[in-house]
Amino acid sequence: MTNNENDEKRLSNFLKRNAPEPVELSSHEFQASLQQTSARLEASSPARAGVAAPKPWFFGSPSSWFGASGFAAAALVAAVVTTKQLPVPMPSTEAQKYSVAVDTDSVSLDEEDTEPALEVGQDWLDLLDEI
Amino acid sequence: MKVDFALFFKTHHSLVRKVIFQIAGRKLSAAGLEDLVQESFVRMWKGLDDFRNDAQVTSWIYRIATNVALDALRSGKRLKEDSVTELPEQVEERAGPDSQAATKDIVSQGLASLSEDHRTVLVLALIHDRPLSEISEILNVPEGTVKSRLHSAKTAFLKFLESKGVAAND
Repeated sequence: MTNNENDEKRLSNFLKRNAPEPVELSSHEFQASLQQTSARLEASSPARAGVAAPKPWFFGSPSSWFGASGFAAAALVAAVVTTKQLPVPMPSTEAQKYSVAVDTDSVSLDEEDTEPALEVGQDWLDLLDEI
Repeated sequence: MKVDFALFFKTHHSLVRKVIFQIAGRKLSAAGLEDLVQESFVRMWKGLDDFRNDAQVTSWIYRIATNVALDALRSGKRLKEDSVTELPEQVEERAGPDSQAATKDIVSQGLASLSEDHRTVLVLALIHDRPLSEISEILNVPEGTVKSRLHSAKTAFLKFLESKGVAAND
């Protein structure tokens, strides 16, 4: 190292030790400065400032969740969720109600099988007449 | 490149503030300093996508902070209305000639006594260790000009220190 370089190094060290420095900001002042700068940034360039402030897609876009076909996949998920949220289907006609209620093993469709029921019914009608 | 602005601000805030303060010197008011720091970050953030590695970003931060400070000095805005330099005799009476506070004050006066060009080169080269080639790019002047300004700045600064009875020892 030459004399000149030595002198420069010495001056550099001296300056680093004694250089003027601004008064440090308090944590409150620092936060205020950050907020003001963000606001200025937002005002001057809304599109770029979007990175600075959390947005609805702050945790990633659908395409980042699902890859290239992100939006299609997101739509599918949305559809499944929507389906799950629908109420359980209920019978909407009388026929449906009875088809659920009847025990098919105990029912016969033969004509003969209907006779006793008719006879019993007649007995009841006769009884009513007597009353 | 995805970077959170708050993190970027926190990481580089102190450096940007120091560079602007040291270049704009004692002429800058507290509100003016804050304004220039904010302006620097707005400029940086707008152009951040153009940079791909830390080394380039650091160099570019110096470039913006330096030029924001120089623009302010040249325009005369954001400066204190009364920027009279404190007399050295007053410093000595208050703190004593041997105290570090007094030395710092004299250094501050010495830097303020230099021209903008000389002070900027001295601050970037000797306080922040920026290479001459980088300073040449920051100021958009040939490297030979930077070398020449640095030589003149050192000579003038050492002369100032000598006049105040201060030696630039390690």
